[in-house]
Parts: sequence; C-alpha cells; structure tokens
Amino acid sequence: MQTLAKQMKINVGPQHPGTHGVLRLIIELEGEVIKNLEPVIGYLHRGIEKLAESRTYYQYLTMVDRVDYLSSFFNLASFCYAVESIAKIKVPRRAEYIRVITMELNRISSHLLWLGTFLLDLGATSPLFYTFRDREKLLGLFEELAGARLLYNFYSFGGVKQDFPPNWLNKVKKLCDELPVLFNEYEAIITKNPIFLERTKGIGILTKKVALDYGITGPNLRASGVETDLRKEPGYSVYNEFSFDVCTRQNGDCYDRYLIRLDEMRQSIDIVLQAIEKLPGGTPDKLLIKRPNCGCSEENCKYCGFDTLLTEKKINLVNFKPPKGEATSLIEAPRGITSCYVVSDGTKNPYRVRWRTPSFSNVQVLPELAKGSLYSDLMAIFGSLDVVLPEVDR
Amino acid sequence: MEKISVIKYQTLKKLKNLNINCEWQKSDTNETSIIIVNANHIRNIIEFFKRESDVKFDILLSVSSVDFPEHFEVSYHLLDSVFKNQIIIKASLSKENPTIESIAGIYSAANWHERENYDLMGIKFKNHPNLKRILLTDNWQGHPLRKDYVQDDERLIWNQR
Repeated sequence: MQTLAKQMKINVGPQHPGTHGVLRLIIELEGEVIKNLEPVIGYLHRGIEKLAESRTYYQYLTMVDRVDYLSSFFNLASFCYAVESIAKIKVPRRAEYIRVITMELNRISSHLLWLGTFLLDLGATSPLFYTFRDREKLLGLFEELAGARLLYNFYSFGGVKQDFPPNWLNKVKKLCDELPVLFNEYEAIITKNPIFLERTKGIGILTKKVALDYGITGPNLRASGVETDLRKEPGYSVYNEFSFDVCTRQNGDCYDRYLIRLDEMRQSIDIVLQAIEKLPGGTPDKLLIKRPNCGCSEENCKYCGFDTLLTEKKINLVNFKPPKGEATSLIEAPRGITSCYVVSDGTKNPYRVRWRTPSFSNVQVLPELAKGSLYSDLMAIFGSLDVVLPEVDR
Repeated sequence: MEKISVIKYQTLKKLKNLNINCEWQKSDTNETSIIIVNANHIRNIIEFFKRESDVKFDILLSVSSVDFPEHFEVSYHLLDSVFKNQIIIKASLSKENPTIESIAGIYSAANWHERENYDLMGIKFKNHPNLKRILLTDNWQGHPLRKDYVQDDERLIWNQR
C-alpha cells in the first residue's frame, strides 16, 4: 500500500461535530499519523472587547455572559470583581456567599456537559443522556433563580440582583445529596470501561513543562501535576472560609483530565454544602450595596456593612462612573483562569476591556499534543481539553 | 507564602546589575505589582522574571495592549505557579511606530497572544515566528481596537444600503 505512506493535507471543520463550535483544523497526515496541525480560529469573533468601549458599564454587563455561554457566572464574576476593585465597592457577605454557591453549581453543570460531549466524541452515546439528565436539574434551579437557563445576568456591581427564591436552598441541598450517587453511576459505566481506557490512557500526554510554557490553567494544568488553584491560594471572594482539596493528577493524559473533573465536581458539592451551612442571614432588599465602601474592614460597619440600615442612595445605573484606574481580576473558571483587565478613564464607558480566556491557550497547545498521534485520537485529545469556541474567539 | 513585596528589594538590585532601569508601582486595588520598563529592554526583563528572579514567574497569562491618547501601552501579565504572585510588566510605545520585541521565544503562550494584539491593536512584534492576523480575516483593513478605527467600513454589506 504505497499510497498510504504519502503526505496528505486535509481540512477538518469549520463545521464539525467534534469541535464544539466553529474551529478549523488544517492537518498534514502521513498515513494515519498526524505530522502537523494548524488550528484556524476567529469564526466566532464578536468583538466583545470593542463593544465595551461604546457602552456604559451596566449595558456591557449583559454582554459579559456571552464570552463563555457554559460558565456565565464566572464571566460575570470576573467583570464585576474588576470593576468593583476600581470603584472600591465592597460586596456584602451574603452576596459573596450567593456568588460562591451559584459559581460552584455552574462549575458542576459545565463539567457535566463536558463529560457528556467528551464521551460522545469518543463514540459513546449513552453517557450524554445521563449527564444531560442531571444537568437539567441544575439548569432548572438556575432558571428559578435568575430567569434564564444559560445566560443568567445575575450579578451586579456590588452584589447580586436578588436573593434566593423561597425553598431554593432546600432544593439545592437535596440535589447535592443526590449528585454524588449519580457520579458513582458514571464512574461505574465509564472509569473502568476497557474501551474508554484504551482510548484515553496514555493518549495526548501534556507534560508539566509544556503546560506551563503554553499558559494552560485550570483542570488541564492540575492533571499534569501542578497544584495551582486560585480558589485556595491566594483565594478570592470568600473561598478562604471553606475547606476543600486541590485535586491533582500526575500523568497529564486524557484519562487524568477526565478523573480530575469528576473529583472537582465532588469538591464543588462540598463547597456548596459548606456555604449553605455558613450562609449569613439577612433580608433580600439589602443584598445590593447602596453606597461604595467607606474603606473600613469591619464586619458591622455603619455604612458598608450588610446588616445595618443603609440610608444612602442606590448606585445610579445610568450614571455609574468608576474613578480613573485599572484592575485585573483572576477567577478560577471551569476551564482555567479567566481574567478581565478593565481600564477606566473616569467616564461612563470603560476605556478598555481585555478578556483573557483559558480556552484560547487550550487550543494553542493542540498542535503540540496531536503531533505524532493517530488521527483517530485527535478528537479524544481535543475533547479532553474542554474547549469552548466562543470563548476562544470572543 | 512568599510575597512579591518581600523580594522586591533583591529583585530591584539584581535588575540594576543587569543595567535595566524600571519603576516599581504597587497597584492600590489589589496585591498585584506593576513594573514599568523601557520597551527596548522587554526581552531581558521577561527573561529575568522567568528564569533568574527569586520567584520564577512561569505562566504568561496574557499580553494585552491599550490605546492611550499619547501612546500605546503593552502589558504582560505573569503568574508564578508556586506562590501565585501576579505581576504586570508594562511598556509604552510611540503612536507612530508601535514596535516591540517578541517574547514568543521565552513563552510559547505569547505566540498567539501577540498575534491577537497585532490583529486587533496593530502592535508589531519584532522577530515573531508567524505574525499574521488570527481572529479577523487576512484581508481586513485597520485594527479595530484602536480608538481612531472607523466602524462604518464601506466593504461591510450592511453599510451599502
């Protein structure tokens, strides 16, 4: 078979079921072995950084969700924390807890979707129905909370838009008791499955050195043995008040990247349960802070504290002007570190907003992983990196 | 946990030995240090922070640029994976000729980030392995994130009505 050894250039995508969006790959094959691979991105570019410059902060807040539609809460948090640190607004403690609970639930829903589609890429159809069954329950809860299933627009500068609906927390608690059992169900059909092991073990090994060099963050980096979790250290929001483990694995292959996400979902459930236990009380109308922080760090301050009567006016939505300055926020999103760099020039519109998204780096490392592997492993490798394309192109 | 402010003195001393002048700012908003350097030294200083400083900043989070009225500003966000310190290294470039040395040889992550900055902001990176547009099409005119960019481009179909 002389023809098989010839070099061949093929095109994958832009529309391809395995690419989770619109990504084009130009692949040079020799037989079935990938010799070279070049990703072509930009098909979903919406100019989300440019759009910020012609809108006010509150108008832009609704667009922030769209950066990554699977982890809306994290994008919102990223933008809100950046603007809050420019405007020196302190978030009430209960609002921080609400943010943590919603973010961790969002992490589970994002990982569940990843799990289903990853196995679908490998050719296993049934796990998708299992994970979507459970993700549906989470999305139902989000719908009850924020009125939307994917793009929540729930956080605001200085807090969250509303308190939990009645009985919502009980439903979350009940779900958190159910989910670990369901995760065991997945483990029973996936983790020891010989076909799955064959497709993932030792495939697409991402070494520690390459991962750091390419700026990979999040579960993909932790699967390569680097213990970097911003929730633990330095710890933003109120994450310092919960005890949880930073999950790491050593091999950095597709199988470890699968295991680490299952571990993370269990840790997220732990965090949610702890947060519900410790949730500070209060009435719903005091969740949005009504006056910028007076600068103190006391728990029960007359002005910035949460359980006191706030007499100042609300932040004016139309005329919200943070002072001159700039800030960067680092958030540990499901796919890695999402960072938002906001420059304010003291007017109503942000001067510059820059999004650093984890998937951008995850796509960049793909040629490094795929070179020398078989074409049939490409989708396993790409799927295991958990790339969301709108986040790459922004 | 080793904070960057603790090692600041030694770092500055080492940098001075390398004949690199820089200005060290502490941002008032959070723990991040901002280091302002001359654009000509950017390769040396990034190399220094990756390999020689006491805290080794091994992750390049992003390269970003801002179009200020008088100058362009390029900033490099670095994170170290052990102590989780973050620093921002900034260099300002002239309006007429925004050119800076590429750091794609030091961090592979910089390759795409620099291409993105070239694409959207028009910063030219010297000695970049593959400096071409990444998000927009190759025949796009102008750099959208510049403040003087004209939005109603005649070639766009919705402007022809």
